Amino acid sequence: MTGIEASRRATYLRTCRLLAVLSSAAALLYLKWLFFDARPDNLVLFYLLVVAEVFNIAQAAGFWFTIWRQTWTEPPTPDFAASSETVDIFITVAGEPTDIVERTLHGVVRIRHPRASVWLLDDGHSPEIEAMARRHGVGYLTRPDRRGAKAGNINEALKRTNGDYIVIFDADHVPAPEFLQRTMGAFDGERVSFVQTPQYYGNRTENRVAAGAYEQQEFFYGPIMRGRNALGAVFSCGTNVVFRRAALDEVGGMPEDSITEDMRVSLELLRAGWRSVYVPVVLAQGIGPVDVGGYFSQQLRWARGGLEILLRRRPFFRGMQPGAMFQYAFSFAYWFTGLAYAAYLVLPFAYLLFGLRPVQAPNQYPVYFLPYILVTLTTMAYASDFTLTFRALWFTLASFPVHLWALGSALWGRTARFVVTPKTAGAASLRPVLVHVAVVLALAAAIVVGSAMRGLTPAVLNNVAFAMGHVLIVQGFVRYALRPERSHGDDATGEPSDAV
Amino acid sequence: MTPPTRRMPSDSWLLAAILAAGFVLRVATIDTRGLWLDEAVSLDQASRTLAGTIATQVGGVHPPLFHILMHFWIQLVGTGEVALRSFALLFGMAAIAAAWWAGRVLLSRRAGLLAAGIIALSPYHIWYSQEARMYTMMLFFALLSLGWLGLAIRHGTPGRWTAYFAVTLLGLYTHYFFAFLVIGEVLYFVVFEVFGRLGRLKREGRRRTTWSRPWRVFSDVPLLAPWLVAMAALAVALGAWVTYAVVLPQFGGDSPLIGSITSSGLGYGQLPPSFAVRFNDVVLMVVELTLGFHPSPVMFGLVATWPLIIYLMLLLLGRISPLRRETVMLVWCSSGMVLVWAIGQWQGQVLASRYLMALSAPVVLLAARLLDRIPARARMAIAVAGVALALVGWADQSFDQANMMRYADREAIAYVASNQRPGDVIVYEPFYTDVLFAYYLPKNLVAYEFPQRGVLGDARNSKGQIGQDLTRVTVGSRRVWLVLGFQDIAALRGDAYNTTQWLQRNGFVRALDRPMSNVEVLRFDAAGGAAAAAGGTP
Repeated sequence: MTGIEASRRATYLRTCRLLAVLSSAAALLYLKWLFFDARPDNLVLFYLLVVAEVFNIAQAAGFWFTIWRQTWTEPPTPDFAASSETVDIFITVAGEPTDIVERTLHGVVRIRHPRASVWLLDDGHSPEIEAMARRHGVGYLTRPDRRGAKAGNINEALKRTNGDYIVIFDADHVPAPEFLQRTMGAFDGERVSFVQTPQYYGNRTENRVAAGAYEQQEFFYGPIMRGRNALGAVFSCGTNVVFRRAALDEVGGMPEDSITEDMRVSLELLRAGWRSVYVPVVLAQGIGPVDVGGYFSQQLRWARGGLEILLRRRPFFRGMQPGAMFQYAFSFAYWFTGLAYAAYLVLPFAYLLFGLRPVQAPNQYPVYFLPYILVTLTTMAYASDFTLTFRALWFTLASFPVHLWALGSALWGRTARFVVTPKTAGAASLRPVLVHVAVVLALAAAIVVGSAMRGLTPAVLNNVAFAMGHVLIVQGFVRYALRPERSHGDDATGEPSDAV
Repeated sequence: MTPPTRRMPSDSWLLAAILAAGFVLRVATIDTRGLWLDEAVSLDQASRTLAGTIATQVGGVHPPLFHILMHFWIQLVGTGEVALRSFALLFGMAAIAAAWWAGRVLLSRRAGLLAAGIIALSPYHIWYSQEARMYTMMLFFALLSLGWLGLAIRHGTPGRWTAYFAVTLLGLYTHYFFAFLVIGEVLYFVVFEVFGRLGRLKREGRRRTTWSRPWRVFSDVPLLAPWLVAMAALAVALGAWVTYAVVLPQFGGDSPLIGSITSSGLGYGQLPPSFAVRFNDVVLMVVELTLGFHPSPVMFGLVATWPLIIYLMLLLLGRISPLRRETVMLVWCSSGMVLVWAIGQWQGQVLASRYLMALSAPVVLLAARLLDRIPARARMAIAVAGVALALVGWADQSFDQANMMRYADREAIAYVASNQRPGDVIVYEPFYTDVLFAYYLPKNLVAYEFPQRGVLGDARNSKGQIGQDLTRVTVGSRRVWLVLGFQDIAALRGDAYNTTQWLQRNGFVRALDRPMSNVEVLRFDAAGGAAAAAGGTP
């Protein structure tokens, strides 16, 4: 991740704001046309389009609101010798390969702090992990069951340790030695509950799926988290994070009834009046998902967790400031992106196969839609400091089957299981991408059939262009699934990288 | 043993190959279409005395440089189609070399070659290398202007600033729309080189310029002084001509340039300017810039694929950073396109892709930059696809008679000339296609322009006037040939309607209707002679 240098930040923020204003204006013009000037042709398709567009514009507006105020927290380096506070560093293990865990352990034991205790929390009950702990002289904790998955694992460890601060690393996240020196200075006020740092995938250069996931993360840990930092709406991401034990104790530890315990505990802490801080410096390198199945597994867990909070918990926003409330709402609503994208997918099918379209006089549509979409994309690109990639976008859009599955599961109350994201690639398989294959084939068929039935009229070509664009977006996972790569993070070194 | 490295052709050979390809493509089809109106007008204006040629541009819609140079050129090479167009061809070839140079000095060695290749193969640029107009001149000077501006900004010497001033002035004297490129250059310089630098200096605590001491900006921004000198010189040099040729005639009541901006365009019968959303016209310009000129169904079908613009922008995400200073400059310099498009929503006639020729220079360089930065395999795939597409586009553009930009006046006049009989009357509309008839009609034949001009130069286009003039012209004739051009202009269609209605009401029947590309040839036979004519030659 590349950061925004301090000398550029004022200009960067001004430009973000200008672009946010332009984007808002373009969006309002588009909405005005959609609501008041557009003449519906097929009502079902029209309202499908309206709902999808309103959703996306709301998401975009949330983004513009987020980037309006971004802050770069640069905590001072604390003088550990001047205090007596202790730190427990947890590495949560649940069956990951031992070489990966050992690499992480190598990095953790190098963290500079005079009173840090390292603990391997092994839910996999592995003798190798236990032996590893002994070899390195670190603590080894296990428990008789796996109640509550990762949250339960951490809670059990909380009972058996007593550090003033808790640091949590996933088994594959190798920290830099200065991790605590660059984070603990952020606990400047008594009500700071945790300090989160970015997730960074060291295997992004060797694996396309990890690269795509990393590019998504870069956008999230860049302008979005910096904006959430300014609004006091930072949430924990489950790793590379430092908690104040007193805060966790006050909210009863990690919630064990959610597969996204990190998001849940962030909400509980916020409602209890605690603050959270984001330090936009990469201080640990992890391993991103290495195949499509692993990526979908990760996304499904996150989506399920977020949607369960939104749909099945008591109103999540009670006790929150409006800014934070909107931020969390946008985070949860993100998982409806799949539904909106599915709506867009329907439109070219409808015209090519059945001659149905959402609006009459479709020539007017691009006049309002194009400026909105182009300005919005420009805003996103600029806010990301031009690091946003097409792959990051299609990773999001083409995950629509996962989002839809998660939505269905959350609505119908299917129990979600905590599944560790695999760190090694599986064999080539189309199983995770059957929906994508079907969509691509269906789009291709619609293009051929529609062109044959209706001729190459401008209306047909217009829908063919949209259909080709969807093929471009959806086919990526099919390609990746057919040719998985084997790398699993050989280059995770734990060296510090650039700030975001 | 290390494998022998592949020797890549040197840049000189590659450039030579590109120039050769560009030359072949331009020359091979240079006469597959006849002159169209603008070319014939240029010839007419350049054929006068030098003072006369200059006088045609005073109060006209173009600056004089092209016409002055054409004046001398046609004395050298003659006025045949190929000879006329060889001037544009020369500048078209020079533009390929200029693109190589500008790409090389601004971006990289490979970008220079890519830019040259794009212009060499681009159907759009080939088309205008085959048209006896000033557009390739405009392109040539635009590329030089960008190159010299970039060099002057990078390391400003008096020589570089002088070169920038000279080529930019030549560009402005070639076509007024060159100003849109200059606007972009000015915007870039002010925003980035002046205010950007002042901002950086302020952040570093080194800025000396203050509101109370504004003159210190010249020490804070050393480039500002020479740039201002260049701008002032441009303003003076161009201002002299604009004052003489544009402003003063307005006070005399006759400035077609100003009239074309504020009222009906150029008096050609177009509608007065009006605000309208002309999205399709804007996208059509983009299609023409990228793929050249083709039949209307093809062009408007391509316009309908506008969603691909979004996907192109998506594909560019993540590939355009970090932005070099030169890239930022090129982006700003191409921003004039947005201004043209905006103006076009009011004054629709500016939405012609040829007016974007100067602005195509930074766009080509940006495309070259983008190609330069993508992985080699992708670049090769795009290059192969691009060359194939360009060649197909060139072939269709050159040979497809249904090309919407093809004006078949040559073919129409030749058809009439070869099929007319003694006693036939030849009439053409609109009147300003007289230059085409003067060029193509055999000297032994006479053709009458319609609507005719009155004593005071007014158009006699009322029904009654057309009737009077047709009565006089067609008296005793059994056959009347009517050649109609520019029927896409509503006012002209009205005149043509009156003409054909008069003929049909006065004993003539339509015996022939031969539509050609943007021209229609009709023949009306006197009612008594229709039966005799039907069995003979058309």
